[in-house]
Amino acid sequence: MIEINEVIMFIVGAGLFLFIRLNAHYLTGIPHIKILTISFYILFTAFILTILEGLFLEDIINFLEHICYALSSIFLLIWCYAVLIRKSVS
Amino acid sequence: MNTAIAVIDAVSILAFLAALVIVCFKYNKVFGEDVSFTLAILLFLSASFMTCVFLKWSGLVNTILIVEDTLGTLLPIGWMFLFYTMVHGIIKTETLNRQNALKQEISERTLAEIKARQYNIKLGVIVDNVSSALLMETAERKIEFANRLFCQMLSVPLTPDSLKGLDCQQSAKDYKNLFKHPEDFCASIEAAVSGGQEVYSELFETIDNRFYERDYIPVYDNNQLVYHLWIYRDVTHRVLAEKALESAAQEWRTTFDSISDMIAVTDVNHIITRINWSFASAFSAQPTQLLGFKACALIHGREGPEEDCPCVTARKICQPVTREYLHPDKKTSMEITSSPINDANGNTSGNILVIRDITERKLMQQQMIFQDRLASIGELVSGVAHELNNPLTSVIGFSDYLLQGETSGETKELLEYINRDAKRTASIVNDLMVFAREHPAGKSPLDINEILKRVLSLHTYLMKVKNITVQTHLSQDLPLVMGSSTQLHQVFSNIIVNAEQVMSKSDKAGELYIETRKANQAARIIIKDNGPGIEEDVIGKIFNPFFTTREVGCGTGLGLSICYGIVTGHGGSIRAESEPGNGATFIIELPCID
Repeated sequence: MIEINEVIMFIVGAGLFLFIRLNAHYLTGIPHIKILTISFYILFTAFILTILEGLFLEDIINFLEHICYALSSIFLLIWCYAVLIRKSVS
Repeated sequence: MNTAIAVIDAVSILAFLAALVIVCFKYNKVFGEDVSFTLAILLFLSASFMTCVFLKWSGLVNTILIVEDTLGTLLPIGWMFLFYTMVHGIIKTETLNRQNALKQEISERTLAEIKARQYNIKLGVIVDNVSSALLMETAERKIEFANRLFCQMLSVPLTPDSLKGLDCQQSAKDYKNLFKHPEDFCASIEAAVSGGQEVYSELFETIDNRFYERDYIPVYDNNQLVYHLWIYRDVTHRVLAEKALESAAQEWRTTFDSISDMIAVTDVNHIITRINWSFASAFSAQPTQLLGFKACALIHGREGPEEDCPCVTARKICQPVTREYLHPDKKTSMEITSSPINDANGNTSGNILVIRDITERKLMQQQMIFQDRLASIGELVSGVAHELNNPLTSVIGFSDYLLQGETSGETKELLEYINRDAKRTASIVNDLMVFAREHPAGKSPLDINEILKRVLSLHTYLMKVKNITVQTHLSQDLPLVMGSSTQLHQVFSNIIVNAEQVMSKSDKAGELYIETRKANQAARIIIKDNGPGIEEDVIGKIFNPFFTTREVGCGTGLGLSICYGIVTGHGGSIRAESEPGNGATFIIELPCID
């Protein structure tokens, strides 16, 4: 069953996805932006999987959703480390 | 399954919390405050959301669904804020940078404009005050600018500013008549422009005798011709000075070459640096061919200077030094005067050699010495002759008287001997008195041919007896000579008697040749015989008094001396030429009556 908050998360995520694609040339000025965008794309995948788990293969997709959350958090951590720690040291 | 999910969620929570710690630790240090704050909120939301998920899947709490949904909804919004603040910050930074760049560009441009204006002012001052006339054309041959001097030099009745844009080809045609060769002026412009290369120092003469020098400089920008620059200079003073200098140099050279004395300029090593034509001609060479030779090598045939070289001495004493040399080959006497050349610092940089042929002067000096000696002898002889005349008259008179009386044979013979020798002595004394006489008396216009005929008529008989043929070639237009008939008669008689005597001793038949002719302003008398001639070492002494080649007692040695005295007393000259074995020739020249 698809819940309303999951749809909102998807819509906002999709809007942000479009925003990132449209403003890609501005974002090139941010260091290691690829890591950050990958983190968001994985999170956005998790939002899609959240909707999909209500339609079929609930357990597997749910598991993949959490995997995506974990990967997204790890990429975000890597980005923070790369930008805030390594960059500042160098 | 739930446990695995819970573990995965726990990892996510730890990752978010670690990232949050990093952000808090580096808050506002790498990113601005807004990005740092948004990132921190996002991480906090993410960690909270994952905590709710973890609690749900770990089974610890089952009643937080609303919180989880709320946080889950806020999560993409947080991401959206994060990207928005980042993009906004970047745009803001870029805008700021662009504004700064624009400000900098404006300030730089303003500065450049100020500099350009200052440069234009400086350029304008320079162009207007430069001593050359300047004209710049565009590639299309339109005037870009010209200075005031250009208008003045080419008599353009316009201001420099009003010339801008005028067609240069047409302007050149309009003003070409200012020059003496207008077509050349136009043609040279076209040739320079079509050549596309710099052309320097073309000289043009104007109709008012001024000289302009012109340079052409094509101006290129990226290999593209953009301007033609013409620079005119008034070089009238320089050209006139050069011409005057050239003329002075030519005049000096002509003067230098016209001097009959041989002149050479040498350096301190005696190497010739300049010589005149006389010097070169003496060595049958062109002046330039002898430059670089050593003067001592040319003059003396030596590699180095002689011991008493006048050049060395002149440099030592810093004064001109003169030496006389007898040239070993040409038998000519030379006088070499060497003067030191001192430069502005007083250092001697070489010598000027003036070489003069003094052979004739030396001969004249010898003649003067000879004449002086003759005069001395004449005075001496005159005194002695006067003293001898009286006793001789007594001896001759008394001996004649005694001979007229009754005398024995031996006494008479001795008296005759005394009388004969006394008369001979009186004759010698008479000759001496003639020789010693200073001024020929009784001068009158004389026909030399007549005198010669009279002399020959007296000797006709003897000549015939001695088998001597006489050949005469007497000029009919021989001018008259002012002189003493008696003295000149004696001169010719003496010479003919001498010739007669030497030819009579010769085995071959005698031939006497007598010629008269006009030579310049003189009457020349040539008396030539075919006798044995005169030896080379004797010919210089034959006019000396008491010099004779005859046996003792057969001649006084005064005959030719008397001739010499008479001829020179008439303002003439007498000389003898002879080649041993081919006879002797006496040449007498006497000045004619104007």
